[in-house]
Amino acid sequence: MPVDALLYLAAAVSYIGLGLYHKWLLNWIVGPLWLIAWLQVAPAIGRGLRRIAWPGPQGQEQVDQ
Amino acid sequence: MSWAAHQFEVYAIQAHLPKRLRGQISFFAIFLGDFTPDFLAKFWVYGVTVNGHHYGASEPYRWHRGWPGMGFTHTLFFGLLVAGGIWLWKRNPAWFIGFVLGYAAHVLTDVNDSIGTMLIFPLNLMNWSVGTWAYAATIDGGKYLDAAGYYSSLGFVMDVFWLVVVLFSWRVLTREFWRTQVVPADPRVWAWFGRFLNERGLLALYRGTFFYGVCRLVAWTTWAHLLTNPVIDGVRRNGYPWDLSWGGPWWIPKVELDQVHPLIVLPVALGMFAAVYWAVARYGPRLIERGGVRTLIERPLPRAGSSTRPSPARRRPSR
Repeated sequence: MPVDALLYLAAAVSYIGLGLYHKWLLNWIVGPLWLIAWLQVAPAIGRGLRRIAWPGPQGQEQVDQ
Repeated sequence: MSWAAHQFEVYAIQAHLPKRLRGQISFFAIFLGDFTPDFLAKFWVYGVTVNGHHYGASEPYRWHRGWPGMGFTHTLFFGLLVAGGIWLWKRNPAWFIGFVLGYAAHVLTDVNDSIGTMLIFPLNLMNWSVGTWAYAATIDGGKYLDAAGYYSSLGFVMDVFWLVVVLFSWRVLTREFWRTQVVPADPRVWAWFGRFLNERGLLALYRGTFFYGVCRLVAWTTWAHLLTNPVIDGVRRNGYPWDLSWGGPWWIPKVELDQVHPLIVLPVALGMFAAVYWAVARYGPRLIERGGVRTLIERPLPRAGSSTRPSPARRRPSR
């Protein structure tokens, strides 16, 4: 749950930050998609990085945790 | 017009459905109902400028809310018409009721700006407005001035009000609520999205409109008051001035159409929403009993033990 909360926060901060200077981002399609992308892509990247950091069976355990 | 209020009211409706209809009204239908009026009418309000030529409505406010124009899209009559079309198409009470509720919320929220909506169209073509804040969409100002005007006036308060309503009903945003009351009303649509998203992503899809509402509220308010230096009446200012008086902000030329007196509008608008809610509470359960919970995507759900590939949500549960 804390991981999810961090992801939502990161999505909001990045979206607001970019939206302030690129207002075309502030629309009803990009907004929800931005959140979905953060919640789907960021964990996948995290898992990928952990696989790189801990290759092999032990690494797989780390990824699965 | 209202901005993030339209995003928040979707969740407010979802949270305050009549008791006997909880878990039986489509969230997507509420969202679509709330979203359709502006989807149909707003694209031409701001228009587009190509090679220095502006393509768009010559009088944005009349196009958006008036007649002749697209003002009929902001009427309960048209909402019921479209909902009737949905009913004839799929006989789906979860979508029919959800669409009506979402549409009614949008139409009735928009009576707050200085243009208002044609509440009793087609019986009468006058606009019904409470005049809480100035309608600010103009050809020259475009979306930016519209945002600045809205987020400097009581429109900002309206957005915050709806945000507070949702936050007081915070359970509507929880995973538990989504699992027990949102998904069961629309199982096949969620199952279809589940082919592409895991549970974490599906929950983000559900919360996405709320997320967008909060972000646009924060971003546009910050921009309007901290990041821009407009020239108003020949004076350069640090940010657009706040004006939380009735009908503000003062620095926007207030536009109006032929209108019903505001003292009549408020009770009638509230009464109409109460009537819609009452009708839904009274007759909704009967419709649901007759129709069952169905969905617009009619592909059958995979049966347990079938060879159909399980959804990512099942394969990779979120922790």
